[in-house]
Amino acid sequence: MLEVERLCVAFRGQTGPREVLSGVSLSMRQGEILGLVGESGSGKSVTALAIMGLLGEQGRISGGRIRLDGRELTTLNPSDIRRLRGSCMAMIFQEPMTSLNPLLRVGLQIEETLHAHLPLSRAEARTRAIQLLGEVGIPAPETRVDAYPHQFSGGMRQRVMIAIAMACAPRLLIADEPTTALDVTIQAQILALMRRLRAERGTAILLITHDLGVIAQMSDRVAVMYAGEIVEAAPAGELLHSPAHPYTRLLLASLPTTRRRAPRLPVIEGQMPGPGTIASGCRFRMRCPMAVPRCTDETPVLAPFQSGRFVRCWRAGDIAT
Amino acid sequence: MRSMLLRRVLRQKGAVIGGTIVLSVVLTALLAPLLAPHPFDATDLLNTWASPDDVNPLGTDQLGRDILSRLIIGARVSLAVGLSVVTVTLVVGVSVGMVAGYFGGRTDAFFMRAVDIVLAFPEVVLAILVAAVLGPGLLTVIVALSLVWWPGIARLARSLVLVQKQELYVDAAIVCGTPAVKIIWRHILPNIAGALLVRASVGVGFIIMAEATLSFLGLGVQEPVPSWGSMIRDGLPALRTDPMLAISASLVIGLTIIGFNLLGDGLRDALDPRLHGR
Amino acid sequence: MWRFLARRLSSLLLVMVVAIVVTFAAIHALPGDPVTVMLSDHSADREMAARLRAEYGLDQPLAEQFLRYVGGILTGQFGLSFRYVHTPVVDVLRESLAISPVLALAALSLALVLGSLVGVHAALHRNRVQDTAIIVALVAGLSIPNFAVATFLVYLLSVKLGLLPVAGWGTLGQAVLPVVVLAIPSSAYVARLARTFMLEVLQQDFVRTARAKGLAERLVIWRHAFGNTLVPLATSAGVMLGGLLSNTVVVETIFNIPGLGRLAVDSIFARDYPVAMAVVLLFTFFYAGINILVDLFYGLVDPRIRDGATA
Repeated sequence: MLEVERLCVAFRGQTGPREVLSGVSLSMRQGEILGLVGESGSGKSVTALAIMGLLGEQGRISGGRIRLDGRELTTLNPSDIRRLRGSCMAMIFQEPMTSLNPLLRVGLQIEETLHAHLPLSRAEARTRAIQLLGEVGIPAPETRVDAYPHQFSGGMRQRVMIAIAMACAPRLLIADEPTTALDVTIQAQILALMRRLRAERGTAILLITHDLGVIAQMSDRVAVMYAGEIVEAAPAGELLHSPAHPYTRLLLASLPTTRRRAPRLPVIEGQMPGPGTIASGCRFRMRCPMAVPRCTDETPVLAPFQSGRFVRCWRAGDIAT
Repeated sequence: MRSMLLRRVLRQKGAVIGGTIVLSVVLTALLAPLLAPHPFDATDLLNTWASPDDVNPLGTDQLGRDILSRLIIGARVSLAVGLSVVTVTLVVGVSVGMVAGYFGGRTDAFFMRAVDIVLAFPEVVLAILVAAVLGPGLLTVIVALSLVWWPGIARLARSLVLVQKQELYVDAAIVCGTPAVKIIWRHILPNIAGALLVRASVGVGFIIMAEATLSFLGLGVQEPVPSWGSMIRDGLPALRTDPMLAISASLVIGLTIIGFNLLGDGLRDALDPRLHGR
Repeated sequence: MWRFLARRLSSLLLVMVVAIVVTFAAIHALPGDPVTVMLSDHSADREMAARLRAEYGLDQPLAEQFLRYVGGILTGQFGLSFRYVHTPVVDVLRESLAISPVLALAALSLALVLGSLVGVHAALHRNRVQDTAIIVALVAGLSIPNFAVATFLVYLLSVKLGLLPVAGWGTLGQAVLPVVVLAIPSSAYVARLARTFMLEVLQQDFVRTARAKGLAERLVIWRHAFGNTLVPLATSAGVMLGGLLSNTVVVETIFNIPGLGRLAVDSIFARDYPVAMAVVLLFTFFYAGINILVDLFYGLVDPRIRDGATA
């Protein structure tokens, strides 16, 4: 359903364009939940914004293809992409507290989306809005539809955001850190809601997060990003139990656990390189405990690994030394 | 620190242009008696509304007085008013604001009430009131403008003091037994002076405009002392036949105020840490 | 909300009380005997003097005069004019009362609409040629005194090109220049603020959400972005209004419009203090009243304020 092929995104900087995404490739089937993991700055959000066509003035797609249900998105003009936004593909963001317009009724904010894409009357849109609020678990939706955002709690606001996103029954829902700003119990509820929507409507969900716990709960498949590239992609279970890329392995190892008693939390030393700083060779080599000369000399490509998995590493699968 | 500030200011093109204009005006005002080719009140009723020539580079006005000389002297008037008003408003406004902010409580409530009441009156009303009581003249202009501007300065000074009161050096001074007046004057004031001066410099342009407005209405400096505003008023009826008076005075005043505003904005932008990521 | 309104109204009352006391003092406590001025040539005529004093109530003790004054104001009477002997102030004001508000409101509307359009446009094209050009124009608009602008415009349009009449009030053609000249500084002020606030609002998350919903750009900019600049813009309305009132006086003088402002200034020169002070009271009331309306406007636009979140 969604195919991203070698997507490159460049941002306009003060000293010239900087490449923020270098050939990102991923694909999603209908009804699948793909978890996209990575540190801040790895390019996860940029990938999402690029798909939605929300890169803004500063960024542009400098290469690659994006296909949604067979339709090529990179060559569309802005008004065509706008028509797809909200109707075929939707996105929810991290900060529910500020993502809603404080001056407009919640109902209106849902109805706006409906009016933008569907030929509904005012009354029909309102009914649908109430219905949607009920579906996302807002109690007493008939009254709440006229309430304002500040009258809702954070978790409720995120549900409203989901209602807005699902209003026109999109095929793809992109969720960029949807639960990061919420406390843990609410987090579980929101994730459960998303799973239910997927089950009921078959919506594909691209779930972006840095939280491996969320990934474990939700994803069918996982893609790991580092420095603007996908470094590993695999079905969730396999990736979490036997990661093939050193970065993935270190990420999993750095999760605090009560099982091991260690004096210090394991960390990955160093920092992720900024865009455009590494010209060739593996981008992770400076922090990689398994780096060898080949990692500097030859740039690794995202290659098939075992069945249904991809890794970008010359030493994929080697036992860690 | 100071040279860094200067460099930042110079980087703002607006401030440089504004500063140049302001400097020219200030110099003109200071050197006025030397620069003006003719006395400003030398009337020549046989030579009214003369066109520009060698004797009168900009021509003469309705009483035969040299326009250029009157413009130059007018610079003095505008700057004198600007300076006086800024001084008075700073003295009064800062005192009130700092006292209110530092002591808080009923003192604060009292002074801020007074400020609110003065602010509740539109500027023009205050000007009319002062003009009614004092009659038209230079003093009226200074008093009226000071009355209009001091509340704004007072409010700013108060909020700045409130912020400074949280700082450790204030607690340290109190613990040492420093009297309140000394704390305000010697410790807090130097720390807020910068912001206050920026606000004042941004305001000078508007003060000059207000002075010109009052003079235009006839409530400002009286004849024969020239003010750019009153020169425009004199020049308007003759606009059809002898536009030089009105147009030249308008140009001069417009440029001067633009200069002060650009300089003031440039200073404010240079000092505002938030805008540095441009 | 209601408590807030009550507080503002009591504030208004306090201001008007102060205004009434001050204007009374201005009329009566100044040196110089108004009756002498009124009599001018007939200063020796004691009988006339006595009659005038009685008519104007000047023979009463000050306290009683004050009560009369206050009572008069509450019923819409401002006493008698000093300049136009025997004439009630209200009659002197009558014609002007219809003119100044029209002029001011026309200019205010123009300023709000024009200023918003220009400011939003500049914000949308930030750092490009249009933005810089607009900023330059705005600085000029704010810096050049409106009588200087009027001078240029009158010279260009009326004298040189003969397109518009030079002065007076009554026809639509005569109204164009005064309203435009009056609107220019206010438009510049509004535009500057609109630009700054729009730039800030456009960075907010909910604008990104609006775009993500696939809304037409027009809706995103006006309903979502601009809608959220209305409250901060309204905050500055008070300041703008003060300037507008002052400028009204100037514009009326330039274009010879018989409005309240020009009347007030003329009255000062003619020592007709009752009339001048009546205008003072009217302006003050108008100014304070509009500020209260602006506060009500906040409540209308921002539901958070309505629910008492902020004052």
